[in-house]
Amino acid sequence: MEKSIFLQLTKEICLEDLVERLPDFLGTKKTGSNLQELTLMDDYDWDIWHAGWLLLRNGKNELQLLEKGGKCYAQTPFIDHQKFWWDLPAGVLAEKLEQMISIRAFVPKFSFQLSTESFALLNEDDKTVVRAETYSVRSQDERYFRFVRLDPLRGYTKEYTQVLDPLMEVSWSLKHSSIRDLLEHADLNIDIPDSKPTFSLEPQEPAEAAVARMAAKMIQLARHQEQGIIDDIDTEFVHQYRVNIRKTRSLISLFRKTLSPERYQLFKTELKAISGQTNALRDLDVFILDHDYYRNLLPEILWPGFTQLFKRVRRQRAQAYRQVVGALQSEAYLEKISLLLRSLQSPPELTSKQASLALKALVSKKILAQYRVIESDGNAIGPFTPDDAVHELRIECKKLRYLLELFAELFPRRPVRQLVKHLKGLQDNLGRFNDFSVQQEFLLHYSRGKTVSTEQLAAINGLAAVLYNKQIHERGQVVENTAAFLAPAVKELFHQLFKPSAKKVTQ
Amino acid sequence: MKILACYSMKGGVGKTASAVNIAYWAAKSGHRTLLLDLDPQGASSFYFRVKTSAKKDWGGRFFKAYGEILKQIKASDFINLDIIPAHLSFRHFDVLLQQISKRKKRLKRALTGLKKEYDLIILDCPPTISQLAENIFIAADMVLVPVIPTTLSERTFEQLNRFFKQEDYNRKKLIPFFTMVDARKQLHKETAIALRKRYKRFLRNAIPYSTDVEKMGKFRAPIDIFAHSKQANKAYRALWLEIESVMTKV
Repeated sequence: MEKSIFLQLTKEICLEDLVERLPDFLGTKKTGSNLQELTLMDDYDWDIWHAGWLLLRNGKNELQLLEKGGKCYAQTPFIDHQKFWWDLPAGVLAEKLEQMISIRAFVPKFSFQLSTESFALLNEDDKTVVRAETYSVRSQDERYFRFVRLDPLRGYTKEYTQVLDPLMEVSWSLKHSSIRDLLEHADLNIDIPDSKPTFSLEPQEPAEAAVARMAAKMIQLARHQEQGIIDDIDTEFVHQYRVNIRKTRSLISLFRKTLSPERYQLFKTELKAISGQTNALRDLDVFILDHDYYRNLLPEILWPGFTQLFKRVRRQRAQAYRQVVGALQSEAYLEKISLLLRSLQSPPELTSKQASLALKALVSKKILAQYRVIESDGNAIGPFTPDDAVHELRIECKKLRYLLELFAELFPRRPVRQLVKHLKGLQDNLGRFNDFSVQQEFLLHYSRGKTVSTEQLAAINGLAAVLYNKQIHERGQVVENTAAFLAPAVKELFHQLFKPSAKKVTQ
Repeated sequence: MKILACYSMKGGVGKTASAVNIAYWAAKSGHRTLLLDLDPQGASSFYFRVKTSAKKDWGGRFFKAYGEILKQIKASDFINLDIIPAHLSFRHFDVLLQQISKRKKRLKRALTGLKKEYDLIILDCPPTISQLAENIFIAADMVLVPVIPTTLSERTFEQLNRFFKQEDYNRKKLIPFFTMVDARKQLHKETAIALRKRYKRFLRNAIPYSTDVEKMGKFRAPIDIFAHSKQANKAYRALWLEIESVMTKV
């Protein structure tokens, strides 16, 4: 039997023209119509879209989550201020959103009108011989696009072909007819970012140019987060902003020998200052995100004190937020950024000794060197080595991670991914160790001052004690995890992938 | 896949009307349904506006080539409901069946191939006792017999029952139900009561005498389409629900 076909109509054609194109012996009967005002919702990075799903708000104040094929997975009532999965009524929709966007806020992305009309095409007995459905997608700027779906009926192939043939002249066929397909083909100027940015690196290009280009791109990526920070949409904007700045700092520091000393000094100082202005806000955000986790670490009797503490944290967060907004909007900041970008976009200075080395060879060398640093730092750590050494190891691991990720496109994908996975095991351990230590410091900071109530003190001390225990537990695993990462097999992989080969190193 | 036959030796008892409305409700409750119009008069095809095939003697190949049957399937205007329209050549089925071996199981065999596509096949049967009828009795899981509560109809049903006994067919397949019941007629009441006493398998729901059933010819559609809230429509719906629950037990 023939299959349903889905056609996108050329722009000039309207519905009346379509009817005229039908064979004379067929009548039409409208069997249904539906007009929906829809708004596509997603987080900043379009995570729902990239996962193949769609989150739609309809005119009846409901949220609908559509699966890959376009089927409605779940639906829930929606109130305007809701923007996180935990704001929604508990259920499968909220759970699925949690998986896809985690702590990110979903916000309106794009509004459109979708009108659907169904028709039965009838023969002389008024028997339906073909079914047709027309879809019009209209965006707010009045662009609109029309689609037709034809469904053949068993035993009426001849009639189906008679309807289809003249329509093919004014349309082209598409694979599917889900709302997503409509949006993808409607050319409605939806700006969907790539899921992961790349730097278009060339193995042989001179290192200085590549490093400058990467730094510029990451600073711009950080800047893309600014509006989200100012609008206070979710905590990920500050986080991503900081990640991009941190990666830039790490890149500049690892490749400082490709830059002139003046340029390096400029970046080192300015990026440190830029990064610093969001430190307080990020610490507070992290604490607030983990509210439930922290509270559940305490016995219920300490909860009132915890609530008081939490109120203070929230107040401070509001203050920190205002400071960050002020900083991001200040002339000084904007000037600093444009100074950095100007410097990065200026022609390579080629004054330092590594500036013109081929990128891939240099990166390989750096990665191996970084692994060696971790090797020597790691081997020096025993069960009783002071914490500072563990912190130092964590920072070196992070540098290696950035190297692997930033330059991943230069190397075969699978082995790099495998190495990252090995590294991640150790990093997670070190990260938790560090987090527990930072959190204790953060909390104990709140225990100082004369106005702190005894309940609050009890909660703070209680939490600090639990966190200290957790930190000790993580510390206990560091030696083992380090050994796993420094195992011969992993080491061999690093050497295979990044060992220098004479012909690749060019001047 | 289940096969339901709508069968009566006697004509004019509401057999086709029942087949059409039962098929409609079955499809509407989600069963992928095929209505096979075996009656060469083609009344149920007419009700669904499905034209008979232009192919001359396709009935001649009915029991031989499964592919031939597939080609004749037509979609109705309703979701889940397809039709194989009647063909004038179906009147030769008895002669055809005489000529082939294993002649009693031919229909069952021909329909088996459809079990992937359909949950339910409903046969609208011609009013004869014949080679074809016996094929129907073997193929069907349930033989639904419309009975007007009058003496003549009563007699016909008894004959059918005896025939089943004689030929050693499974009498549990025989599921009678009342049609064209006129509650004002004393005779209808008495006959119905007497028959129900004698045959426990009578369905509890009955179809009343109604002009809406007759109007099916005018509207060329199941009753639900043009007389949604009328008695006859509700009766058919209730009858279908009862059949559905009996069906799960056979």
